[in-house]
Amino acid sequence: MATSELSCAAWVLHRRPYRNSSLLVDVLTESLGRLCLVARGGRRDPLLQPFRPLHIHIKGNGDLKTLVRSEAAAPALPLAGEALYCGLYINEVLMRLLHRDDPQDSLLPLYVDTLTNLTPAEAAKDVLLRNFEFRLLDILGYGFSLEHDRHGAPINPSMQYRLLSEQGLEVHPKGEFNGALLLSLAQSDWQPDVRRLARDLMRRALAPYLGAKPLASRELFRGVRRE
Amino acid sequence: MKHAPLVQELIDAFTCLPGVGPRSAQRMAYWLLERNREGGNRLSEALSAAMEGVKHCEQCRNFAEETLCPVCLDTRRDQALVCIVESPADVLAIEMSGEFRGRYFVLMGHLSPIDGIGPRDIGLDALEQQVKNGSVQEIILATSTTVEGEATAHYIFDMTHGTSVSVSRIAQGVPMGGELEFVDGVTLAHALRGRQKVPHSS
Repeated sequence: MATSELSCAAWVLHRRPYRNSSLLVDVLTESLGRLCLVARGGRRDPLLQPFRPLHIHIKGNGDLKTLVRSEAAAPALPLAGEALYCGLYINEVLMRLLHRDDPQDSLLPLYVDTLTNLTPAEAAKDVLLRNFEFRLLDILGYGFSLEHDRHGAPINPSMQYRLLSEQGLEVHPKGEFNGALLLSLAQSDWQPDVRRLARDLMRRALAPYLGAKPLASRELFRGVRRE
Repeated sequence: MKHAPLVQELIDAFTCLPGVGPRSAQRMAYWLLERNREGGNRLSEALSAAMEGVKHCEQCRNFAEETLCPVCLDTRRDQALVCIVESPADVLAIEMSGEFRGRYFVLMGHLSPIDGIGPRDIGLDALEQQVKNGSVQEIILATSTTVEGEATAHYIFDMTHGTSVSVSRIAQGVPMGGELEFVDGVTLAHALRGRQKVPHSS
């Protein structure tokens, strides 16, 4: 039986119990995309946690590969509090949006950069999340322009726009997105109005790909805002 | 080979247990039928009695037969000191330590947005109610040290914001009888950060 063993850098996105002490782990890797692995005895392995850079050795050819061993590549990212919620949100979005074994070159660097930038307490977390969402859509081929509408005409600051999925922005008298704010967003001018618009815009843009079930991590943020 | 319908049903019923596949289910069913009918009867009575009679304690969500569990009813325990754990097994583990004289709040899980488990699914709305009505003075967070356990702990900590409830998290460090060489780096880092002064004996 020829099973080749290979090794790569990986980040745990999701883990769920399997049999007595094993785990089914979804990991994000650079060259292989999102993979699902069986980790025998994985529930006793403190390394197999999200937000920790790992170096993994895997074998197997099918959909479900076997984790042979894992090593820590660096200390875990110290995500705490709201930053931890953001990290959980990012993982949930990736689990919904990524197909298995479909590698996207620039995704892992984006993931790692976003998580790393989230760690300082003073980080503008919503801006980091919006940038992540915008670039993720772009990487997956669902991206759209903020400076031109779907026909290629420049965005007019005095018009209202709406977002059509997979097509882009379109002038619409009852559109919820203001042209001037869209242009500010394109310039990364993060004033409060623009942040709100960016949140609604990304929500609308992601919705078709997330499926019918609402994202549970958004509920965590609701708790934060209640204070 | 086909089993008699009743035997087949018994085998199928056993497979609902964790870690029991068709093969071990068949072994269990045969063993009870061939050699231990009495044990089998006891098992079936105990099962149906427990499934009927065991509910969740209204205060701490642990298993209970009455509206409150024995721990919540115990007046010798400090009912304002609440230790928050993920499962009934954790309650047992802490009880075994013999160190704790308060009561518990059992989440029966942890926050795990990716699996669709939000604050309400682990009873945090009930806990919030208890915090708000002033029956809780101190909370000890004893959720696991996984990412989900940390998120749960933080959420509960946030919830107590603006109240007079004092909140602490159980310490993490080197296990008893553990040799440093074999302790993982994260635990060791925690242990170093949470180090304690050795008092001079007078």
